[in-house]
Amino acid sequence: MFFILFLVISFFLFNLNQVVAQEVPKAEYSPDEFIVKYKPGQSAQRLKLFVSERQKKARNFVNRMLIFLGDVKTKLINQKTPEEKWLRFESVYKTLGITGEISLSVGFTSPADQYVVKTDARLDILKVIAEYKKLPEVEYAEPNYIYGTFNLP
Amino acid sequence: MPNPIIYMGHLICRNKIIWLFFLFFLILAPGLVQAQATSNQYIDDSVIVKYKESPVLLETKAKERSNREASLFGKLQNVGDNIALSISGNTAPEQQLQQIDNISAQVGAEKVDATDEIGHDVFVLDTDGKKSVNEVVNFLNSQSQVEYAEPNYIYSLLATPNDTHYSKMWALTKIKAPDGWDQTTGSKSIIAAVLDSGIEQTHEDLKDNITVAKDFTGCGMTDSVGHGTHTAGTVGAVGNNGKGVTGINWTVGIMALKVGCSGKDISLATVTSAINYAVDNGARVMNMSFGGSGSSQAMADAIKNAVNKNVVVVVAAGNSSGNNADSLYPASDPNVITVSATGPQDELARYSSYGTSVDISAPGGNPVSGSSSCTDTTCIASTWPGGRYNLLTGTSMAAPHVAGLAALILSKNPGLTSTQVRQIIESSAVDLGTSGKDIKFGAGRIDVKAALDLVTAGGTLPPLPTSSALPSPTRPQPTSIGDSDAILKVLPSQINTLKKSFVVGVDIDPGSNQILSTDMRINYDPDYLDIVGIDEGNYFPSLPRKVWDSTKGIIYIAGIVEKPKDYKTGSGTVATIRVNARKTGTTKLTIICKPNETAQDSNITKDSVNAEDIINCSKNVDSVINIDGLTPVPTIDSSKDRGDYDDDGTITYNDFVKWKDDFVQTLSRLRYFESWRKIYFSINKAL
Repeated sequence: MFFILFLVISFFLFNLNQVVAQEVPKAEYSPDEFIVKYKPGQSAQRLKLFVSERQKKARNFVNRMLIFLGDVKTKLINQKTPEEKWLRFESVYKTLGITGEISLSVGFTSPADQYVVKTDARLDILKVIAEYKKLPEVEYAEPNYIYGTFNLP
Repeated sequence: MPNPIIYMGHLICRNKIIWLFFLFFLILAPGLVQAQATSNQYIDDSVIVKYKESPVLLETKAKERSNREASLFGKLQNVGDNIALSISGNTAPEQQLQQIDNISAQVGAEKVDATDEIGHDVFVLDTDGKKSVNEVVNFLNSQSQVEYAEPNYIYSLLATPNDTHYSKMWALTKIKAPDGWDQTTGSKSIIAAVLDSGIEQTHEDLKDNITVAKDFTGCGMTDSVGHGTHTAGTVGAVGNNGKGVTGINWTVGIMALKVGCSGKDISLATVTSAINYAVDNGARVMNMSFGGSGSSQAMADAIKNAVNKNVVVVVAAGNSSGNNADSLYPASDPNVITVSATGPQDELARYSSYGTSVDISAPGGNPVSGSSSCTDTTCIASTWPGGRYNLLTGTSMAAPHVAGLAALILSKNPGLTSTQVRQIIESSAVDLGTSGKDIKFGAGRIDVKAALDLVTAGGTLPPLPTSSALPSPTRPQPTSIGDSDAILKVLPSQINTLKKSFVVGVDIDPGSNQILSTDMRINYDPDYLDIVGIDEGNYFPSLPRKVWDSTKGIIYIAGIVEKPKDYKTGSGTVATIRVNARKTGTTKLTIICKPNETAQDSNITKDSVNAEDIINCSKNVDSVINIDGLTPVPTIDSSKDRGDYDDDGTITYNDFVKWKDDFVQTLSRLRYFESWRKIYFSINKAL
């Protein structure tokens, strides 16, 4: 009785295997790159420009006072100044081994603030992504997936 | 009805003249048919011309310049313009226009105007027929103002192409392409982007249809695996040229974008850049015959943007034979047309993935096993590197049939939106499998003839069957956009000492109308120049700028120009800054490029532009814009996050207003303090 049941079950399993002939390929991704989308206008490169503009502006006394007051205001509402934010980026770059980033928006009408970030591959890229996502400027980050063409060999 | 041969024999006996006629036809008729098929037919007194710069646009520009002469400032501007033009080696719009008119006069045509425009900068010239079409075409092609000229071919007479491998292309007969070709065989002005392993640009059956080839991988444009050359051939191998195969489009503008070197290394980053590039460079159709398990938000964003900009995106379902298309990407993206593969008997190919994502099916071949077991009757024939042709199978081969059909539909009516094209393809398909839309075939197998029958040439669409399964039609994007290019030039001799920050501002005066949106982008070739500290390719939504309910405003772009690390010796234009604005109403929107004027907003430091970086506004485009039926949208100030660096980082009047609001909010939580409320009202009054 049990033997027959066993036969029936194994036949059923065998059949199931036959139906699922080919598995979907495993997700592959680049070990030293990932994709990031910053919140509108908050990319690292934009911040860097902003900081350098502020430094240039600070040469003028009136501007320096305005920036100082602005910083006081920023502190009061418990926010970070652009310089602090840039420092935070720099330290994250150092700890995660990020070497540079390139914009994916090649032109005029494409979605902005998408970048491919390159790392020195010292750390596991999934961990790097998880860490990078914690930055408040980041909208989302994901592995640089690898795809293949759909022709049969 | 007697047997025709006996009947003929009867005639032969009866009448010698008819017998002679019969003989005559027997000898000459095949020759006649041949002659009709090989020699291209065209209208004798008409040619198609694409100008490098549209005469219509030139006329607007010239008019604007002459209008400007009235004021002193305008006069100065024109003088500045002329200097800029002479530096860049360009001619003034009036002169260019004059040259174009001269060309028209020499071929006996009337002055070109907007009514002759049949495509983007493409015009039809009606000549006096004194010179032969070939002479006219050769003459036009030798002119510097002309990008290309070609005879006004008559295609409707040639529904069956004479390509040598045409008899092997069972898929085209299956999808009723020959019946559709009576209506259109495609147009060079419809650009179909093929994101793939590259393309053989010199292939005899492709080269005439390739308009753009761009490599995103760094390993060169050469197609070392053949996949890209094959899919591109299905979309648009040159048809009726007596050689090789024919595409679904005999003529089309193929934009070959290389996103992978081996075909198995297509990375998300290159694909996203390529999609963005295609959208930016006027593609109307996009084919992606690849995929994998990594579902991506970045690609989804790029695809969504493409579909919103009226690009039809077609992808292959996958070759994992089973109900698994939903776990493959981009097949599972909601905005793409996902294609499963069918075989010669309209059966689902044994390898094809399927699932709820499948929208449509098309022939992809169905051999016993892989491509190695292909025969003429089971696989898809198309172009192959080395000037050769090859048979392949896969959903990769099915997708370009649909992409090709989309381009064909658009060639009949370029005014259709991406959603309309999708609806036409789906509603005209031959239903296969379970009745209605199913997971194996989607809406069914494509039918070129039925699809083109649904398209009204150049006009509006007949009402389409409404179905809850179909996405609701989206509003067509307002296309009337005023563009202005500012060109930033750095001479090679200056590159070593270069480290300059720059600001380019643009003054916009919309008259009494409201500006809906503005946008500025910068493009440059990193081989010759590096621009740091700028959000390259980004608009500046958060930079403080003028409120657009006023009638005037300035937008600007800033950055630091540097020598790139791996600088290549070369010359030429290094950066183009593009400006764009949308507005309401029907009056003229003038975008004036004023690179030499200091940006008026004190929040941006203006380093004066000097001889080292000649900022040259060589294209002073003043476009007449008509956007009707648009409700003005109030500009949302995105810099509301206090203390954020997208604010200007200093104290402004707005800060006080924000603090007041904060204060009021806090007070409202303490409502029981009646006295606080009094204070709040008094503060509110004071401000």
